[in-house]
Amino acid sequence: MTELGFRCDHVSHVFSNRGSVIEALTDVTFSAQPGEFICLVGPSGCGKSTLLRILAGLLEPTSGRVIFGNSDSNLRPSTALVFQEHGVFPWMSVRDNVAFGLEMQGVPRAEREARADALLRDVGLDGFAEAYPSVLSVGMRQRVGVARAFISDVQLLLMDEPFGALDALTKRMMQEELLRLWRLHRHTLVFVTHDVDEAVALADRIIVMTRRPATVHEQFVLPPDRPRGPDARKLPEARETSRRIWDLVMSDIRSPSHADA
Amino acid sequence: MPAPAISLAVAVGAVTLWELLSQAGFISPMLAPAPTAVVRALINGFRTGEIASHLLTSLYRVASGLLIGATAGVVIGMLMGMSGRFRDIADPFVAAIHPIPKIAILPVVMAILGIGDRSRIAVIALAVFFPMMINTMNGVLQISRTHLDVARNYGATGTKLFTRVLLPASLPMVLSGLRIGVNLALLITISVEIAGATMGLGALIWISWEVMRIEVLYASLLVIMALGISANLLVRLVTDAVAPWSVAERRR
Repeated sequence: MTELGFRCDHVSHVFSNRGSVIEALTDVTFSAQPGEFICLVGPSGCGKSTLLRILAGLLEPTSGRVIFGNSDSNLRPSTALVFQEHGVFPWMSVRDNVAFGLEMQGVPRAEREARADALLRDVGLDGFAEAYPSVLSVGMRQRVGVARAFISDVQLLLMDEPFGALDALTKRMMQEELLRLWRLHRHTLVFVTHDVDEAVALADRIIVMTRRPATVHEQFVLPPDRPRGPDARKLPEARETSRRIWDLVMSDIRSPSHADA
Repeated sequence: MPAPAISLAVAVGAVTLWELLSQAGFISPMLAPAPTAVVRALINGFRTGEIASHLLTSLYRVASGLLIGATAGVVIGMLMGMSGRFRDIADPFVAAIHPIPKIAILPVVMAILGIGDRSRIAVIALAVFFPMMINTMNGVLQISRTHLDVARNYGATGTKLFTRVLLPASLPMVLSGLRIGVNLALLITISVEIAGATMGLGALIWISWEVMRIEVLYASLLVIMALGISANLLVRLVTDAVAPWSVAERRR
């Protein structure tokens, strides 16, 4: 399936619940090229997850819109969401978890199990197909979540701090794994993180968001052919980019409140 | 010495002491017959078919009440978990009826359904209904937003959403409701049988007491104990069979 770019066009979202109104996103505008690896960085609770839910079609923006592809058509791309490891279903075997998207699409059992097993081999989880997620380590469970997203050839991958709960070593391994899969499949990928170094190690483009109500603070385009991955953060250019993003985020956090007024 | 061995030693010691004191005439057989006498009554009761027929009657009531109450509880509980509006409407009724000890409703039910097994089973079913319904509802309500988002994102709707996500995600809670329900069904069955029935283990206890067949009374208690232990074992086996992942989680 062909990867798909998209454009967020003045996207705003307001949650209202029994009288209290929370402005989550305000006037978010940016675009993603087909096959681009985008990282959304910003303080926690700033509305990054809300934006991801809008991209996934789970939420309608209060105003503004997301345009997929080049046209103005109402095309709704196929998406796959990855959360932290708790997004994996505890009641399904590892194989059924990975094959879940295919099952929902109505792919016959034999085919979806074969594809799931192939992918499990690919991410080093062969031998665990029959196991329940609860017997796996946190890192292995997240591997299941990532494999589940890559099995159905979706146009847009959406990841919500997928490695946020992992220890440093597992996180590095998962970052390398993700880059490998992404190079293989070339999905358009939106990756939410609050780890600036992680964003610099992975992304084509980093979108720095302000605190709530979140909007695009600044964008950083990184050279696509640079070395990536956990070790790339030691390069001087990467450290410089990290430092600049940190300064932005920190100055935003320290600035006098404009949201709570 | 491992704990189970100590427990066993204590039990064997207590029963032996009881037997010796009975043989020596220190304990009146009208108060507590010797363990050997109880065992004799138990064997005799099964040989004549007396205890077996009471047991079968009780089993029938427990099973019928459990089946009706659990089915209704799961269905209503699912609806309450899935629809906030239905929950808001049903909540006052639950709050009003749930706290009544169900045995207290027996006379009213008998006035409506007549004196007989229909009324007894209705009361047992009602007692089972509440924990099943409340646990099922909470089981649905505690499904994580993340799991629901993932399911919807991968295109789960309708029957598939129900059978692959909603039902299994709430199943561990439903099964813990079943464990409460089974024990309540036993409790209420014996209670309604004591409160006026000619058959059933509760009736056997009451009649034995009235005619001073104390060793049969003790034998009936042993049968009820065995019934309770088997029922709980059965629930555990069912849980392991239909929700094996929750077993893995429990043992972690």
